[in-house]
Amino acid sequence: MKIDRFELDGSLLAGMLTNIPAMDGCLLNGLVYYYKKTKETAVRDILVSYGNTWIDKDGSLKSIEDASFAKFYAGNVLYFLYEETQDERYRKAIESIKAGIEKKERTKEGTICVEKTASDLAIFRALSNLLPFYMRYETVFHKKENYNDVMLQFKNIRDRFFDEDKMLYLKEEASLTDMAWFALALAQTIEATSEEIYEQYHALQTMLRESIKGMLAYDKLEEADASTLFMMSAAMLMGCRERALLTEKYEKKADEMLH
Amino acid sequence: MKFKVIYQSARKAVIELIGQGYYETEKSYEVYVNNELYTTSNRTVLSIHNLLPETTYEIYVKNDTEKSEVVTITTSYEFVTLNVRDFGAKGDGIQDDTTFIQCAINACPKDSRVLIPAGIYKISTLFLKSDLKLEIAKGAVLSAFTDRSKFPILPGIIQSYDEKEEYNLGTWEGNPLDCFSAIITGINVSNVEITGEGIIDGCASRENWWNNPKVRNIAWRPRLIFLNHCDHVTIQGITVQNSPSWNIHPYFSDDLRFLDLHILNPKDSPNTDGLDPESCRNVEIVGVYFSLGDDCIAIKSGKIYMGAKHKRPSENLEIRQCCMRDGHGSITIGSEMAGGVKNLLVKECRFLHTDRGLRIKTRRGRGKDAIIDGITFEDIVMDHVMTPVVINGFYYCDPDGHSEYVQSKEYYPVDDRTPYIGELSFKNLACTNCHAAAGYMYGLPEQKIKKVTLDNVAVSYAKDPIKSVPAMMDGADETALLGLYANNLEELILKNVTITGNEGEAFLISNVDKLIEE
Repeated sequence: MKIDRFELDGSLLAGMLTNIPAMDGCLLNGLVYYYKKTKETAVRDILVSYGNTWIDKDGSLKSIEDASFAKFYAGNVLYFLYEETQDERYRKAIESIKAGIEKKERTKEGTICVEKTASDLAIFRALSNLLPFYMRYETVFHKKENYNDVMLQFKNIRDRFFDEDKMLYLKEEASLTDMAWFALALAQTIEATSEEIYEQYHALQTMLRESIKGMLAYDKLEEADASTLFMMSAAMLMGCRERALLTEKYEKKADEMLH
Repeated sequence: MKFKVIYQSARKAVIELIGQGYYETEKSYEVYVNNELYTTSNRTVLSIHNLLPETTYEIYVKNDTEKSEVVTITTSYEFVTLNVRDFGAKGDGIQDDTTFIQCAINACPKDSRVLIPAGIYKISTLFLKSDLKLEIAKGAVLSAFTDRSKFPILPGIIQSYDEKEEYNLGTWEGNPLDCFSAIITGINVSNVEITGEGIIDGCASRENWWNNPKVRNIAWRPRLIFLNHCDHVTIQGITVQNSPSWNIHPYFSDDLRFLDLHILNPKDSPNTDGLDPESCRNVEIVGVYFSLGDDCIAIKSGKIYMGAKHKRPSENLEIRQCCMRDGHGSITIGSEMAGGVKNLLVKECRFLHTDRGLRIKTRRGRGKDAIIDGITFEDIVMDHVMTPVVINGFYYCDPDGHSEYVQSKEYYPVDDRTPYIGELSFKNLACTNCHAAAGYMYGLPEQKIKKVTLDNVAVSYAKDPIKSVPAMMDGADETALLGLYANNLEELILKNVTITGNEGEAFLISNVDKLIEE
């Protein structure tokens, strides 16, 4: 699919949203970035309207998907809504989602689990949803006090999933889509990390670079579907913006993936 | 009377009196150059200006009772003088003179000087080059703009094309981050002298650079003078003031001399450290006067990333005949010292109204390369210093600063994150009008401070002492009139240490493996 020009149809978008965070997370995150770039009021209105359907008047979450890790990914939009509106309901909702992290079981290495019996792959996917939200919470609201815990999650993911020979996160039958999602999570986490904790900021940049290079060299890249390529492209473009990736080397590749 | 010539060039000399006092002489004296009275002074370190190239001078000093021997010097060769006015600089306080002065700098040949004569020169950033002598004459002020849109940015890290290496330009508080270029910036330059009687004024205030100082605004705040990977640089005679952040910041630079300077900032100005050598070697700081809003001299070697990557300590530093006033620490080591600090000698100095005399700030997590060793303080006078000596192994900096890991006073296993404090020696310290404590030394239980020697140290307290925290760590409450507190040392030697006027025990010593008292 070739995209020459990207236009938003507000009514079409509103219809695409299901009010189920697990399903809406990608679109919501994309809309936030789109609004930050274009400042189109219609997009902001969609996001605010979505927030109102997801959050009660007192800030409690309405969605029945409360236990889902997917809500963490959708939850990224709450930071934007709080910043835009200063409405304390969104702060409360963020705290409520964050509280869910503290309730989760942990492996003996300290990895946060979806549930006690979750497979490693399920944990990998869940953490790709959770970690950008968690890092942003620590940066914005918690004085970075749990940065070490966030980094521990990334370390444990790498230890468990990264194949040093193939330079890819493909152990436990992780797919290219899983890898792309993880790369996007890394890019968003870098965006949410304070550069003043530089050793951790840099470590995440290095992980993203390693992840992208591995995928680009993967012999099965040609089989990737559109959504996988879009995620990889987004991760690369964000990586360029955060200077984790050299723009000269990666921006064009990212652009080609969109076309 | 004795003196030595510690610096000479084509146009200047600096003399240092021997055994005549600390920063100031006990009595005023006269300086004669070729038998003519040059000046009367009470400074132990003095600059002689307006000499001529390739000329022989006979210098002697005398006071009411003594006269020194004559010391003969011959000034060095000078090729040409480039007067910035001839390049179009106006010095009228209005025109942006940056480009005109920069042109003169860039055009300056070897063995020559760029002269900035009296006037007010508005500038943003000037960049040094190798083999440059820049003279800021009496009555000349390099007055910086405060509009940040005029300042270039030094990117923190630039990746190499092969993605294997990095190029570091900018820095902020020990991390390689984007910062504005300094008002005077040197990058990879050698053989530079910045001299004169003039002023570099950063013009910072709460209306500009000091507004919201802890928040990055496009880039991190500029220094007044920033030397990045430079060597053989001398800065002599000038006054630097009102810096946007740290005043003079030599960074990964070697063979540096800072002679007879004044470094001035308001007491409440944020992060206006005076002189912060960071991962520098062979540094001499002589005859410098500090009055400012943070540490006077803070010796650093980066935070964890830079310390672990480069493992470059600040080492071989000598500080003498300086006066530190009103700052937080007179001499501070850290908190960014992940590359270590070694071989520091501080002598013949005067500390007045600072929070600390010597202040060491470290903590778990700084890393195994964060080694502090070979620290010597001799012949120091302190007056109204809140606590003369503080060695803090639990400094609560960074987001996890108050965490259990950093603040626990219980034993933790020694690992790659554990810093090390080696040997420190304090000799002939006269500390009057102290307030909080005579000293506060608290090492880590798992890696104690190796050895501290206090030899001929006298501490007495102010009549109305001000209560304050003796060290910035959890559990150290505000106090006044506390004696000498020492906890977690391998060896402590106390020779002729007198503490007068304290409340409670004069010596509060615990977990010290070997205590020698004489």
